[in-house]
Amino acid sequence: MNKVECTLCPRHCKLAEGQRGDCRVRTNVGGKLFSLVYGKPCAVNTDPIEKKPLYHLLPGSSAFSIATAGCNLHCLYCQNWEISQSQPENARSTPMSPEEVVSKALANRCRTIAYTYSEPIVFYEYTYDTSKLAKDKGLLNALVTAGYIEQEPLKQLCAVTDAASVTIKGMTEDFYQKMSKGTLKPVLDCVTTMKKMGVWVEIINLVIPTWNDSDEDILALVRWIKNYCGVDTPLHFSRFWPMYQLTNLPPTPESTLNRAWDIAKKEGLRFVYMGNLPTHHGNNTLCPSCGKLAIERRGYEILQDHAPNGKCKYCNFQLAGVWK
Amino acid sequence: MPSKITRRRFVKICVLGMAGFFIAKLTGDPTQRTPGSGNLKEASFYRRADDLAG
Repeated sequence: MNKVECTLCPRHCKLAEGQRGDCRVRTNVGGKLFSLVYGKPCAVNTDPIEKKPLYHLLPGSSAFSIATAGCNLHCLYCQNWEISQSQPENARSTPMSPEEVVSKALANRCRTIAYTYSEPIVFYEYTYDTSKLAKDKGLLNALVTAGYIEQEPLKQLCAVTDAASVTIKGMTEDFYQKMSKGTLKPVLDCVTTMKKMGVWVEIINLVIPTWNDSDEDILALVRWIKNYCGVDTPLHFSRFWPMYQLTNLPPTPESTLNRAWDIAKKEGLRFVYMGNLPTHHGNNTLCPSCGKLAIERRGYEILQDHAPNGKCKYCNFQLAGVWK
Repeated sequence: MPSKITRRRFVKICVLGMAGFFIAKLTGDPTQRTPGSGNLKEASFYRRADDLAG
């Protein structure tokens, strides 16, 4: 006996005494479920907000970024697998309370705390407590997540979250099963709930050769975003780079990303971006009203900002996003 | 044939070595131990066995 069922994510791991969840960071001790990573970040950095990527959240500002070990998905291409797929004992961590995270963020002149690199859902309690404190101090909270979470914890978290960059990895259950050992529906539900609850959402899609790079795959994603999130929701197509268990594939050709970009623009999405191609014009924000260059970027750097506070200086059009 | 002092020293080293080994075993590699709940944070979303159906 003494079994517990974790209800944080759709896996609903049922754990006997001493067992850990699929995420490796939640365990049953004496019939109670405990987080093994609360206050134990294994990655702490100050990053440009553009790295998350969140292009419509205080452009040019810094995000105090934290992560712990663990993830509830197991993507074959994971870029941060050293921490996301490790046990907390095997990822070197530094003790840091939520209070310390907030004070370090303020000391580093960050305007946002980003819960990122691995998966903030699996360090839920740490994310939530830190977010509450950060909000009281006037900081914004941003999740960088795969969105594989149950609705009840998500709604509670949304109350203290300002923005999220959510990866929709593919548009079929089959893709999620094979690539990430997860399911698609909870991810889509997560995005729509975030939108309903007023969280600023930007969608990421890693375009992987032969896996999700057909016109049909891209069109399905773009149309879903258009119908359920709206044309003002930024979409970032990101270039795949061979990593972890998917080193047999080549990097995504630029022509594939250009094709994806064209499809999304043709379908009417207003803000379509290119990730992992630092010098591509697809890093820039164009004003949807006058078509002029609003924000010019090179990689994570802002070269020109013609839309202070999100307002186009040529036509006064207010761009969607969080600008103040 | 070692002298008395050498033998005493030898025994001393063995005893200290064994003590060190057992202390390291008890306090060492945390992956080999079931964590206690003392310094852990209780999770927010879970059900206990008595709440589980079936």
